[in-house]
Amino acid sequence: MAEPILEVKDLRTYFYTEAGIVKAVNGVNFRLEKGQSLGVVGESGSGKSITALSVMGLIKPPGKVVSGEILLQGQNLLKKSRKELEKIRGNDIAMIFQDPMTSLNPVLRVGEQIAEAVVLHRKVKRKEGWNVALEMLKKVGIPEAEDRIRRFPHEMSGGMRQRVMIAIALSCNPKVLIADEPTTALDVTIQAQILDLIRLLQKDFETATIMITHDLGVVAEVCKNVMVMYAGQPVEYSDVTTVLEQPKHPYTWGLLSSLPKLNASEKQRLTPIDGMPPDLGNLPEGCAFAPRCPHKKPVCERQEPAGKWLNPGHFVRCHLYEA
Amino acid sequence: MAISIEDKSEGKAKKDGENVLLDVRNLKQYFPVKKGVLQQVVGQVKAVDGVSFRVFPGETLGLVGESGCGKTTTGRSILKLTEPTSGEIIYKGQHLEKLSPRGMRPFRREMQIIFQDPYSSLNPRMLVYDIISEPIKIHHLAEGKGVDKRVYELLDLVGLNRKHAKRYPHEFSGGQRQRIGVARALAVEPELVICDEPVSALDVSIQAQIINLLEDLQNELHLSYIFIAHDLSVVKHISDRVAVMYLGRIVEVAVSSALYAEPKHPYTQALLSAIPEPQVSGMKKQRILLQGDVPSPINPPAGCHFHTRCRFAQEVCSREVPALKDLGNGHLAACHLAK
Amino acid sequence: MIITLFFIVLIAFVINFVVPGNPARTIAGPKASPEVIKAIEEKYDLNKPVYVQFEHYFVNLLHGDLGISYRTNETVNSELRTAFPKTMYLGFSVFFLNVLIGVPTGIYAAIKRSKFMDHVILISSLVGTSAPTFWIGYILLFIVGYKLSLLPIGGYGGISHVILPALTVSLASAAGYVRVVRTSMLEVLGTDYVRTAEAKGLSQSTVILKHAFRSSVIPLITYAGMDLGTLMGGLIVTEGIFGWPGIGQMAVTAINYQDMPTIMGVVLVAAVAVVIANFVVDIIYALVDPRISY
Repeated sequence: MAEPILEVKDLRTYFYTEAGIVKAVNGVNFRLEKGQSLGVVGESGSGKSITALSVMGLIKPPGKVVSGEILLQGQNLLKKSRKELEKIRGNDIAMIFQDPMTSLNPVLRVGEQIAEAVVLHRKVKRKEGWNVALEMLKKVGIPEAEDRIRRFPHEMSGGMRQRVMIAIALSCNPKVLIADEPTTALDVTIQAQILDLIRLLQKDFETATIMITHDLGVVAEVCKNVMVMYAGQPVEYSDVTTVLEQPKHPYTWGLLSSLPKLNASEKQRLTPIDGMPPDLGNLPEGCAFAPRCPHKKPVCERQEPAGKWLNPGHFVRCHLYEA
Repeated sequence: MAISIEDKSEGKAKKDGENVLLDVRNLKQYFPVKKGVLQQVVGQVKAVDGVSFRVFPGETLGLVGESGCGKTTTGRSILKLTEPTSGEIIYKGQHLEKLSPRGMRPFRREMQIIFQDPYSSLNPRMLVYDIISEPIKIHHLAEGKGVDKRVYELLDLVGLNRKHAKRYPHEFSGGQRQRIGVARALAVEPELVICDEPVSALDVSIQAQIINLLEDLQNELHLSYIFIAHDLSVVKHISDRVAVMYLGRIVEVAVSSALYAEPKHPYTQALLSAIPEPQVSGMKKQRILLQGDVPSPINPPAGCHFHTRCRFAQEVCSREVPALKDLGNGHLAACHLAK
Repeated sequence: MIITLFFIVLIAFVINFVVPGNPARTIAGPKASPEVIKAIEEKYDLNKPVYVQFEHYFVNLLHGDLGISYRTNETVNSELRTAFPKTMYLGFSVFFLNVLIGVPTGIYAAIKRSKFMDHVILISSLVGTSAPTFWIGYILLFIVGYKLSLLPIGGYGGISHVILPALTVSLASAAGYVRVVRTSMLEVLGTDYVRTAEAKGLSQSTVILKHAFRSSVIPLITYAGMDLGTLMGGLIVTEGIFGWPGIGQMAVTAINYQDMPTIMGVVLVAAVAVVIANFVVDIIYALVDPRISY
């Protein structure tokens, strides 16, 4: 196995609210190699976005990373000072957020928003920063980039703004790119454009990508490996084909059978997952998915499954497979 | 320029003119664009620009399109939540567009709407009991103990229980709130329910629960749905027929399976090919990438609205508005080139 | 805008009229004979019906003539010309202090949200807004001017003279600035684009000054615009306390003498100043926020 660019070990991020401790991320492990793309799939409250923000070092009180290691090329980010993290953020690890309508500063020109990151990390003059910004805008496929660079975000459509976000993220050639639901707020035809762009840039920049999404279709489009999360924990991890075609975890089964199929010729009734996701401030004993699981055994409600590698590339956290 | 579009896509079982529940003809909804100190009207947003379709009893008509295509506005115009600019809305033979608010009242009971956002469409200061019983009382559908009985019946129908009646909306999850919204809509025993993006704010596992609920209720109560959504797989799943909208106009209407198997309009083709599907092996469809963004509905392109982004566009497309024509088996498309 | 001003003139005129007392008697003095009073009434049209007087006044006003002071016999125009710049001088000093005190304190409170210093600032600002201006004025006068003899206790002059009266008005209105800046900063600090800025690796100070503060300036401008009227009131009271020869003092004296043309002049100038300032606020909006265009 190649040396990973990013490795996360037993990450736990809790929120200390008045109602109690919310265990948003509760023991996440994964590794990411150069140029690789990892999809993180889960529903709201599964901890996928909090995992990303923890890696970025952007968890704010009352949230706190309580344990674990985040190793960027072997260096633990959780041990870094604020100053050291500022040098890494935007430079080695960059992030794209969900809503392009609100993620850009409305009172700053688009060019400035890209250039400032370049000026900061590459220690160049402002003019040079703007040159890089122009080059980036062209790379992400913005027409009339010379004109657009001087515009404000509100003068652009959602798809264009998300391209600008991508330009910002890739402007310093990061080693890791985290995209948090980058196409969820966009229409399908625009989503297709953006996913195409992300795929193209992945090849171009050889950036390792973490794609956070609730949409298994998006994962199939751009990811090599998939981690399925539930209640703050990874429940299944494998390559994308295995997860979509031979999943082992009952939650993954449930997710897939909940989706209406576009290519089904006959109308089939959907099979939803019963019940609701658990309250992260008050997790059930045993497996967090047990209350909704149609395959649960007595042990599931008593003891948390430790998780098992079925083969070197396929991890499942479920009592069905524990010896 | 008046375009008359005759919708004949209802298939063989349902003959033309027979037993139509809702007949919408050339519906237009324009909103003035005002500017300056004196608020002069400088243009019109043509949100809905000549839309015609029919809904038959017990069927689900899907209305699909990207943001700004006018699907939501169409739903609201039909209920006269906004006063339509022109066109006819014929419900069970009655012309709704001519009715005063008072005259609309009996129809308001028969036509209900379920909104996208279960978080903001329920009054946070009302108990679930009051939310559901209010329409029953307004329309005098039950008295005294009968109201209680009806509320509990409805809660049971949508998969909630009696205990939930004495709680406030914020105590519920998104999926449960949508169930409350459904119960409220069904309280007045409607015949037509307009579902405006009812599942798009929900997680997939919960989304499937609500879709199944809507399907069960339709079978049980013989409801008709207009199902408005941007998610094509969901629309395909739930609808008998689907109408695709682009910039205020319907560009294609067909029986759901036919539309997905053989889309005729270049926009529908691109839209379908853009959907990322959760499958890796097997047949990978050819993706048609559309260039650029949807043009502004304030000054939509002349002729066919789609010609600016269409890969087959010809000279005629920028000149003439294509009529929605029948291509056989009730499959309609508004394209000069479609055969 | 013109309609607003017309109504201000009308209302001020009517109020002057319903106040008891005969201006002619005031002008002539307590011992004047009825003939003298009659002559004065004749001279100033005081014996004509109200609407005639108003018409007369309004026509002159349109010619830019505010009339002649009953008290000094000087034209109101020339009196305002000397007094108004002095009020402006004080007014701008107050504004400068408001920004100087209000903005950094507001930002600081937002960063230290819910911490000890945040509470201290909020409580002090509450005291600042609630305390009457004259009270603050006299306290400052007594401690800084009289007990410590650090600054002159009154009169018109350079920076040393302006500090105390400006501070008096500012302590009350800067408190409002603090709260507006704090609230809007907290809102902006929670937005997605501030998170984007942080994700770029920008330092905390760049994020706050370049990204967050710029957007939170907009509510501050709105507040400053709305606060202008109150500011004007504060100025009038304070000028009285510190013997600042601006339009405030002019108004106080004029009211004592029922010097109607002067009162009207002051009211009008103050109103015009507020209206113009609000107009300037609108223009500043468009400059600060690229989303607004006129």
